[in-house]
Amino acid sequence: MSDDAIDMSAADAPGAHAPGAGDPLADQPVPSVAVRPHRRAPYIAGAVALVLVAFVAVLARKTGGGDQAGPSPLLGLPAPRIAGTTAAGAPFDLTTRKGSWVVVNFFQTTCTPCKQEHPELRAFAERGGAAELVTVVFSDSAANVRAFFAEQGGQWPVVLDPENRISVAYGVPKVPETFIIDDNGVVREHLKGQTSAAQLDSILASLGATP
Amino acid sequence: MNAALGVACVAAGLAASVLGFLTVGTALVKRRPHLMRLGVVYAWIVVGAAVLEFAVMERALIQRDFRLAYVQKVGSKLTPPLFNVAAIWSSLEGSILLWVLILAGYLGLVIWRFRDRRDDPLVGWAIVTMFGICTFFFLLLIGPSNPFRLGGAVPADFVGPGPNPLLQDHILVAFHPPMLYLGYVGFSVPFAFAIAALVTGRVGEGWLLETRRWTLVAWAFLTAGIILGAWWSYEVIGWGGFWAWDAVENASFLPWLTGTAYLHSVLVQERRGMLRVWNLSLLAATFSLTILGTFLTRSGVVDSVHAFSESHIGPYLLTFFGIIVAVSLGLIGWRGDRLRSPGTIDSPVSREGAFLANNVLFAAFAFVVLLGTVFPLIGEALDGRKRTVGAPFFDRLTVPIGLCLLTLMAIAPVLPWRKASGELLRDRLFWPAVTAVVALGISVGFGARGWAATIAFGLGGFAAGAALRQLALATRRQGWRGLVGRANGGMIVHLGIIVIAVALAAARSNQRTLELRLSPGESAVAFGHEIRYLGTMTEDTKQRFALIARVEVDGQEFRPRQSVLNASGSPIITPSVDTTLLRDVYLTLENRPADGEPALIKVLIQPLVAWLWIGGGLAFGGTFLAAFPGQRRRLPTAPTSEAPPIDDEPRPDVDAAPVEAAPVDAEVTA
Repeated sequence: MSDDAIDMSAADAPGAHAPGAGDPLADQPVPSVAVRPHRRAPYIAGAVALVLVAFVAVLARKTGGGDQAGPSPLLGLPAPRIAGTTAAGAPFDLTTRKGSWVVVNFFQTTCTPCKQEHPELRAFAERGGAAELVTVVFSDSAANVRAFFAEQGGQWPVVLDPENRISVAYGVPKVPETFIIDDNGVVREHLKGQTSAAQLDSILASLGATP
Repeated sequence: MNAALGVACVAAGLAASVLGFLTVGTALVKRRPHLMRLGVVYAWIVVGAAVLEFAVMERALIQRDFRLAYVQKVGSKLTPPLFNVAAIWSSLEGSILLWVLILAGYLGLVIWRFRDRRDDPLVGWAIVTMFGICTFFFLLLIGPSNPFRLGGAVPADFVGPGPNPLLQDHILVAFHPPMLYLGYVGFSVPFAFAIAALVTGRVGEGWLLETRRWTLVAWAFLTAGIILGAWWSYEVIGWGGFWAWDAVENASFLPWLTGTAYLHSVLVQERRGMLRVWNLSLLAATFSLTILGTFLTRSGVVDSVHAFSESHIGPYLLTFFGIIVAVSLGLIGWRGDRLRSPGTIDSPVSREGAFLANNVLFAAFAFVVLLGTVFPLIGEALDGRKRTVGAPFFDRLTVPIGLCLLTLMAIAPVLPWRKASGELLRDRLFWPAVTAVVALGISVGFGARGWAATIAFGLGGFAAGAALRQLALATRRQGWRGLVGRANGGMIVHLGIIVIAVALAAARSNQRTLELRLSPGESAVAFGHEIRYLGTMTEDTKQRFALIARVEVDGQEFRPRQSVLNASGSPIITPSVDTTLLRDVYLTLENRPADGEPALIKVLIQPLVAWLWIGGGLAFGGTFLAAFPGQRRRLPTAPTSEAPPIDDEPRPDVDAAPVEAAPVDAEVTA
């Protein structure tokens, strides 16, 4: 049993690494059986590489550039309908707001960035900026939404989207996302992630929105 | 001033990294050893630049220099000093600063530690690799994640939002990120040596011995970082949990899993010369996973509570990940066949067989966690549908793997190398089996619920018995030295992990929760504890306004609170926890009661939570004991075939005993 012990002799111990010490393979054990001639490693490494290339491709596809203003296919097109009941129980229909600019914010009470964004939206709404603000809530309970707005303030319409119709029409997978719709009902801007009162103001100003 | 100085430092660091990479690379390729000295100078410039840029950012935060966009984002005149200093790593750009600081620190340590061996190509190529990694991170700092960018003009009375409110609530924010990064970044060193071993073709055991302690230290910090993160979320977030399989948690856990696998399989290579390709692959995987994890959480591709939504560095990290993987795979493909050793495993019932099983389990564990983390992305790429993978997926798949690992932890430490007989196993597993039965009895007596948890208690006792047996034998033989060295220190780490596993099983299977609506002065009994609501008080500081509920648990007062930070206006719910060794009573205030109104108080009772942190401490401390040189008898690479004294009762564990003579130390002390 002991004769097939792999002798790892101390050749590779630190002291042995004299500068320029001879054969770099000196610490290779002398194999007791002949090394098989066929090469396997490149094929295995290649196979793993293929899988990883596909994996990186999937990730890259999703990364996009990380730009906040993601290109939405809706840009320049008439805004999909936003109609339903508000959290306060009143009916709401975006078409009645034609003639004024509207900022549509998609929101959930379970989302931390949304909560962080809320004071900004409040500041924007309370200042009476160049646009009206509408919040759309999907995949969330009306009770949570009411409690959140009661606690955190915010007097603008909050439209419930219990069947995800609005969020699907706008292509919103995760919140927060914000759309800016002009006075003709056309989608002009799409923001992914948290926004701020200052950003909304500057975008609205650059689009030429007037109250 | 701060901005200019900061950018200058980053530029100097980048230049020194690139020059260092090229100089040392040239020194190695063209065999010009004198260039090596220049490379060392560049390394120290990198260290200096990293320290300075970090100091400049701290100075800007302390001065509230709102000309910097980053200080506008995370700084606030209202943040108390401690949290203001910790604010540096509260957002993306600053966390990369911390990363660079630690990376440069490790580079400096490598340069210093191997100062007498700089002409050794192995060390040289490791330094080249580290310069390459530094170059990438300095590039991030100068380009997409520049923390010294100037912000827009702010009014004179600008207060600043301060860091995320949750990052201003607990002392642990000062420790968790640096610990985690010390672990994450620490794996750069063994990775660099692995690459060096592949490039030089010195693929024997030399580089392993060089990096053994580096790996242990990185692992210890990563473990501590993960545990502190869990503790932080338990004490701050207010939901009473410590682990949620969130993408960012998984990102830290993945390199931990592969790193742990490596720490075990490396022993097989040291003793038997086997698993060389596998070990190199594990190290490459560990390092790539730290980068992949950073990519997943910093680019916003997966949903996470920790994700920074506004980051631009995703494509850079993904490219870097691709480069690392390509280089590692290319080198392994090129050298792999020379690496393969002729040794085989004699019997599955042997120490090396157990390590192999350990690796299979850890690899499966890592695969499950990785799959769950990225599955939403893969699924979406295949059919365009959005999915989420939640805790049930992870729990269902990882609990059985965890139980298997506990079993292995019980059996593996008593196995000798090469081959074990049934008789020997019966002998050595007798006391562990006794502790298993005792643990099972105690847990059933205390009312354990759920089959997985009950099995976990029994196996925990089994594994703890095996670890304690080894420690008892070692200390009887060697005195206090029986607690140090890799095998013995490793058993202390095992005990820590077992404690964590048992605490997890207990807390998750036996948690009980109740919401109480209590008027001031009213009390209720929740699971045997008397909860009395005394009333509210308020606390109004420069930083925050807090509404505090005074709640008595069995006569002792606790103060869960809801507070609003003045700088950001965001509300946070802060729990108050009555911790004892046996159970935690976790209180949160769920509403904002007006004076005299009833308060809504959530009571969550979980057993043994404190042992999660104790176990973490054991694992952390044990790793350092393991890194400490133990018995100096023979070289770690000495063959193990010298007649294991299996039936020698007085020294039954000689073959399993630590073989710790670290040649580096032997050299120093000689």
